[in-house]
Amino acid sequence: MKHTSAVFVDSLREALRCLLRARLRSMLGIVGIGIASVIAMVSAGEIAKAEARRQFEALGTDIVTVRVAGGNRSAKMQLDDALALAGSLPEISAASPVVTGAAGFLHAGRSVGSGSMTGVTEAYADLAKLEVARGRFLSDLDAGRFWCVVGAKVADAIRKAGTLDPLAAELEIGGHFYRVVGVLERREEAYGSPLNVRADEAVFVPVATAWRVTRNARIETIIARAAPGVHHEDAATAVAAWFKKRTPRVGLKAVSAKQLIAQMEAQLGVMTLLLGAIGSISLIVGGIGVMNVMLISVSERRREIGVRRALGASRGDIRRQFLIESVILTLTGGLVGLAVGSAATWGICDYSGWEFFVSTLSVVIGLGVSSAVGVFFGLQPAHQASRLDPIVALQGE
Amino acid sequence: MLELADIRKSYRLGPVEVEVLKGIDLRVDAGDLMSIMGPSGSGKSTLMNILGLLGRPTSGSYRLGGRDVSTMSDRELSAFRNEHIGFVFQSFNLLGHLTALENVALPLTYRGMGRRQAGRRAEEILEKVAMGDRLDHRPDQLSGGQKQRVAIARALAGTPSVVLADEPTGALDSNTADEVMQLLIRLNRDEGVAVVIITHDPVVSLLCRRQSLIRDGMLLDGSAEMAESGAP
Ligand SMILES: Nc1ncnc2c1ncn2[C@@H]1O[C@H](COP(=O)(O)OP(=O)(O)OP(=O)(O)O)[C@@H](O)[C@H]1O
Ligand SMILES: [Mg+2]
Repeated sequence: MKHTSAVFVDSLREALRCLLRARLRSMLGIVGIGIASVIAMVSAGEIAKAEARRQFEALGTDIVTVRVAGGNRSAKMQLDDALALAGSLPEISAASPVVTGAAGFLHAGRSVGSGSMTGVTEAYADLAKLEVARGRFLSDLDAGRFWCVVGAKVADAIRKAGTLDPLAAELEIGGHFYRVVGVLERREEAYGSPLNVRADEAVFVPVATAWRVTRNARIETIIARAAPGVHHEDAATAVAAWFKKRTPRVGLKAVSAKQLIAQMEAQLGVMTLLLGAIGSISLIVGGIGVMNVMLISVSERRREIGVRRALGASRGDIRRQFLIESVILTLTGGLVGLAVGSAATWGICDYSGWEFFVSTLSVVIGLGVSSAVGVFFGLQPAHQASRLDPIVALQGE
Repeated sequence: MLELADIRKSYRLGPVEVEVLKGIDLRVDAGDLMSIMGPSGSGKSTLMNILGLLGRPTSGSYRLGGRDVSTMSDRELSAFRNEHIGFVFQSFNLLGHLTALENVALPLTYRGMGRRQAGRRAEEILEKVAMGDRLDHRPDQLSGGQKQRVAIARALAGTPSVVLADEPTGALDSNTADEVMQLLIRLNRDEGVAVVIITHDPVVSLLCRRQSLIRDGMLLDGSAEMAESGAP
């Protein structure tokens, strides 16, 4: 053990020399791809999780989401039932159904947005933490009125269309005209926002209006907040039980924010699996390649091995030397993979609007895995080198 | 310091067993300068490998530095080899990607000496073989004689008990061969290290204080051989 450092320096030099060979470079490329996948897998997963957490925490983890099942098998949820939730359950402090209406917003004959209008109640502003920049949010007294509140980007578009003040402007949506009564504060929002609404691009209308004017209007979601002191999962259970009694034929699922996070993480699992598969396959292929390169290196360097043995290297020294070499090789591939994987992750984040960071876990895993690949696939060549008869090795070419 | 008693070595070649060494007795003392001659295939290198702890005899006892080496593990043997044996080969066997200095320092690093200290010691010994101005040269930048001088420095770096040289002049022209022999003789005298030289060259052999001959698997001490045949 005492001379490990000298052996290490030797091995380092030898590994660097080998690195210059083309065949090895391609093998390391494959190891790099493997590590890159692992890195992307781990970091994107971590980042997405962090993102989901951040967004839920912005809304409060006491949010309960009721997802109403669509389709023919279950009965349709009626607006009255959805609205009744708010005042009927002590476990719930506020609730708002969400009805998605017609798509495409027009102002002065020009398009000012391509999203769908969203029918909500007054409570929604607080539930979704929407801030009003000008005017006011919808009130429950507006029920049935053709009034709307627009997100910051829609307001921008209205101004661009020639109306200096979006407040009191008229929007045409699905053949009806709505008066703008409020403009929301700008807020950047990522894809995969828990409420499935990007407030900047949204137009909110009273839920009763949306319900009435939309053909086949359906309530897809009801957002609620647990009352103070009520655990979010208890609130979700209570909501589910309440609907089961009131609308037994409607299929629905009440989930707390924490459960939603878990669901999102499970969805990420698919991507993780895919990247994991790519990663493992290329690590195995690259590892076998590195093993071959090492085996060739061992047979090419028989004489050197013999000389080292004659100078006093034990079998263990030779084995260690070749193991270190192979680990240095795969680590080099791993470092490249780390860079490529981080770049890929940055791309994913940029596309998804997530906040990019290099997760420590991914670095640790990336370097750990590439070292492990080096050790695993280096064992056989190293063993072979250490087993050479020094006399035969010295006669070798 | 080094003592062989009734060393035998046989190789199996298919069904036949060939006994190459048939009971060798040999003592090498500190400061000895000895040559071993013999026809090709007589087992000189085989004996040298046994002396150098690279190969084990089929039977017989070998004591080196006061210890019986036959029961040692690979680890112990390697450490013992590093401590007691210096090899000089016909084909130099320098590592091509290392400089002269690094080649000479290599046996020292295997005994755990720090790089800096090993480097200093290597430089010192390279100066002794008149290669002090070629420290950073790689083997392919050196002539045959220079390579062998570096190899001799490497063999001596660890202050071994004995230097084993298997045809050290075999790959050199006669002038260079003579220089290398003079170097070995000088180092034997100045450093007190025992030197055993295998050679085909009677001139080289005659430069040694002690001469011996392997024939039919037996080692004949030079003096006895000469007494027998009446040769000078
Ligand atoms: N690994 C082996 N397997 C079988 N036979 C071997 C082996 N090594 C050596 N021999 C045989 O042992 C005999 C002695 O070989 P050795 O190399 O010791 O001879 P040598 O005296 O050094 O010859 P030279 O002067 O040509 O170098 C030879 O006949 C050789 O064929
Ligand atoms: Mg020989």
